[in-house]
Amino acid sequence: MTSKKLSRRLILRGLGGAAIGLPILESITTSKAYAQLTAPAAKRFLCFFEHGGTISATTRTGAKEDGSGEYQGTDGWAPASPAEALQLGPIHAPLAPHLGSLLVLRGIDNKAGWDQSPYNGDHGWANASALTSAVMTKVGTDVFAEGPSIDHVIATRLATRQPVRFASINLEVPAHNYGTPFYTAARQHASRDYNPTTAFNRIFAGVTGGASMPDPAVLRARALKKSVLDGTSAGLSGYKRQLSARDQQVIDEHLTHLRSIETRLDAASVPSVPGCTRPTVPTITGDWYGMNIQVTGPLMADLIVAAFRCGLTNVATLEIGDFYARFLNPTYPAAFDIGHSLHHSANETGRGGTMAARWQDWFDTMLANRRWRIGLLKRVLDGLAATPEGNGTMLDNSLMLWTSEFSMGAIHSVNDMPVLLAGKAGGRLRTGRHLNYNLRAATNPTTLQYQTRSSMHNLFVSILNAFDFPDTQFGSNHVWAHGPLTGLT
Amino acid sequence: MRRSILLLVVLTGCEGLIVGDRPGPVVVGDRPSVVSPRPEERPVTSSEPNPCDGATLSVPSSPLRRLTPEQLRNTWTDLLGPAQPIAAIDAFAAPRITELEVERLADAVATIVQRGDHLSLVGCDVAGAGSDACARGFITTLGRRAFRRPLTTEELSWLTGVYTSTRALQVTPAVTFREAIDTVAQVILQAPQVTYLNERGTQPSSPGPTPLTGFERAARLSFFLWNSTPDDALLSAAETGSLDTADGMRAAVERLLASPRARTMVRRFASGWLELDPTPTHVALEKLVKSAARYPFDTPELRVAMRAESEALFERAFFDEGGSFKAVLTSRKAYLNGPLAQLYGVAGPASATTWAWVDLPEQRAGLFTRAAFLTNTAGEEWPSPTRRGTALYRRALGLALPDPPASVDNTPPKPTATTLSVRDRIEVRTQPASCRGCHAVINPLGHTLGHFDAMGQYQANDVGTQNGTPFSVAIDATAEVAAGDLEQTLTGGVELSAALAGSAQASRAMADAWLVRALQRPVGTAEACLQYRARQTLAQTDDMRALLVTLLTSDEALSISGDSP
Repeated sequence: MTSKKLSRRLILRGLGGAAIGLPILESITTSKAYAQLTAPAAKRFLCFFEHGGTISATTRTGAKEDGSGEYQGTDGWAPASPAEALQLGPIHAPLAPHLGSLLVLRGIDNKAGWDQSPYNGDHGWANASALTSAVMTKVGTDVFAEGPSIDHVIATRLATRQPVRFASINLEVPAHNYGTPFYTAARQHASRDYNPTTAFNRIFAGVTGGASMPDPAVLRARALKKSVLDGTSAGLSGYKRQLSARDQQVIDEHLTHLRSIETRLDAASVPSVPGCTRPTVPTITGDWYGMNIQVTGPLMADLIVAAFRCGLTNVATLEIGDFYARFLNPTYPAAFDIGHSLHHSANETGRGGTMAARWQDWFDTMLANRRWRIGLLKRVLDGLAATPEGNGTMLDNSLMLWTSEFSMGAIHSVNDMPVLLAGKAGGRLRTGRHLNYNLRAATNPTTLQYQTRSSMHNLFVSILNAFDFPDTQFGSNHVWAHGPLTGLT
Repeated sequence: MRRSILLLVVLTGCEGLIVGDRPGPVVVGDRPSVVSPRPEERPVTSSEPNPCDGATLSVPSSPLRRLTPEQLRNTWTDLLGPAQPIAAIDAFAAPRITELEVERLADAVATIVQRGDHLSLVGCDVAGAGSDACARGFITTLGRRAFRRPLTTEELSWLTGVYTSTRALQVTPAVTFREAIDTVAQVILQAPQVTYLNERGTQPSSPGPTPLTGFERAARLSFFLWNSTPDDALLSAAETGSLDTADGMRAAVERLLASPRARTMVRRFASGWLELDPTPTHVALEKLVKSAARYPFDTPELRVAMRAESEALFERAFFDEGGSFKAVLTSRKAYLNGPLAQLYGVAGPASATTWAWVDLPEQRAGLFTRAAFLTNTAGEEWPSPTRRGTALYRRALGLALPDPPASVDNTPPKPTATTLSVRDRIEVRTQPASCRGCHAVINPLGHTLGHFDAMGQYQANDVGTQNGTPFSVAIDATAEVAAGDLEQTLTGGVELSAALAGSAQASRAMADAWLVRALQRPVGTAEACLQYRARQTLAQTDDMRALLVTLLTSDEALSISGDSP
């Protein structure tokens, strides 16, 4: 720490800002001040969520399969080496060009999910807690988080710091799932767009890609659209007056959404940004069930990159359903064409199972499935890495989180969650590494045993800190200890 | 078949429409928090306590609710003509609307208005300068149909205000008459008066029950029986007061049921009841994947035909066999085309495009022995007794399954080389004591359908290979069933169907399913009396049409309670 030179800029910032009232040198030499001042904060956040877990050897307690049963002990997520210098495992192999920007974290539990789920790994509870680490409530047969997910918290705060047209854009590769992990507030799911055409029309409305003067025809169309929205708002306000207090809340929410759309329409002129080009999106129709994800998945990745390049948002999320894709030529069948039932076949294909002879088929099918998902991430990372920003690239100033509701989907394990970070977060993350928070691995890196004191809560605090948000806790109290993870910076 | 137990877990976790089995008030999803779970088991007696006994009328409350996406689509189509471009509106109508849905709503009506179908309601030249009076005429006409009642003074003033302010917009070139009409049309089509259902009754401020207004009754009738907005005749009936009496309502029910729209509604009800439609946790019948090696005859058209056959069976029972629910459960009549007849092994039409009513072989009776249900509750190669049993338990008997126990080891025992039949494999997997609470009830129900393979063909043996070795083992479809009021040994689908037809539990479940369809929300305690009347009607008449009349014309159905605080 002290070996680094103190730049003139750093000294000036130390004088002017962060630590008024403290002796100058003390403020600069504490680790927090150092971290804050040596690197600018992350500018944008991406959250990829894949449903159904990954190819993991994790049991329900976090300990690893010894190879005698499910998965034959195979782990497709873990790095190829237990060393800190990252060597990519089978699922992550396609990300090799970005090795230096990746951080694989292991040994982190979804403790909010584990502690609250009535049977320690139910789909509903695992999903509702995966990105919220929140207290959860079962309402009827549905489980809801009582707080927002990490992406929404960051989006809301960044929108104040870095005004953009969309606080976040939320997209979806639609397929089988048991409930979204994305929440905007207690019991309120975030909206996701699953159709790239409508997403494009929404996100890029009025974006001309470099033209500085707004088109008069566009302005006229906008004025007419605003008339519709104004008229609808007026109607909702009048309608509301005849309702009970309970029902008024429903209309209030509708009104809030309408006003938010109007606000975006008012701010629809997008300043010319170098590198901003409208992506090419074909006209795709169909409902949630009718999307051809082979086509829509990559388009969603392209939309995310383009939206960042055009400065339209600070935060993007992509929710990937647990598909079973025919286009990947799977050699192992899944009941009902559902990715999750493929995962559950791990039991049959494990040693001693009725389908043990087809283990390789199963593994190949699973690996192709998970690699296709990672391929979407690669597409985004490729785009960000190819976009210059400051002295580096857009990827350098971004922070990407990839996770799921389970580690091993076949047994619904919420321990040793799959966590992949990418991007240097403006320099806040030391990437190209693999960190294992499994305490047992400290002395024996290849141990099958497991013990941790780190949960997703801690990860989310670390992520907030990387954006210069000084939070010390996130989510519920189902933790071993609040605070950030160690060793990331 | 490990997946089955997990699918079961999943199914219990995403229940939407289960109506519990309790005498008296029932709240959906209201189950005990479970330590050692057991399905609800209560004896069904004919002397159900009568929740309508109280001195005051016990009537449902009526919270504001959104039209379902299907209702909204149908409404726009009925207002403006067929084939409205409505794909942007999706099926996830949660009680609270999201921002994306608000935006999709706006986009959808913009697209609809672009088509110009609304212009036929404009009483002057839309390409001309127009007039305020002409605009007002358009607003009044479309507004009455869309809002399901005449506009109030405030509404007329709001909408004419939209028209005038749009025409006054400072843009170049100036806003045309047509553009201002289009704007106001968009506002009307996405107005809360269209997209929400709000019932206040004739005396909204009185604390007790209040009768529904005529227009509210018209909306009840049409959204239930047609799944769409009222037509002009129904609105006129409301206006003249003829819906204010039970007799007037009954006449309206008869008229609406005589329409092809009612047949569509009944067919959709059947598909919904069988869960053939997609949800995020289950793909549609048409998209389920089946093994091409085992079922080489499978085609997309065959799946569509399966659905059509089951819907036709329900429709026939409803409209042509006295609304008989027992006929749904036991009929051997089947509406088949060539490929379906082949699947059932009967002589029938020669081609895929010719259809005929045919008597099925004696192995089959009723909806649960038909290809749609059997295919929908089976895997890629093999049938799933768990899935079938769960569907029967939940849908046919209307009973709720509890959550799995907290301690459940969801790594169940593995079948061995000697457990080959589907039945044996499932029994091995669900052997642990922690599984038996539910599976002892579910599995036997499913086993009775063991002779029907994953696409509903009849088979004598389970035939397959295990780790390269072929096997063929006789199917045992005899099971000791103990679920709800079914407590008997049953062999095969025909006996199962006969037992269901004689089950008071099953009759109540069907009555409840229609009640949920009428309310478009779970049944609450306030609906206890209406629920009781509905169950009694079906139990006494076996006539689903009579049941619908009860749901629409009984005193409880024609009033609502005041707002709860």
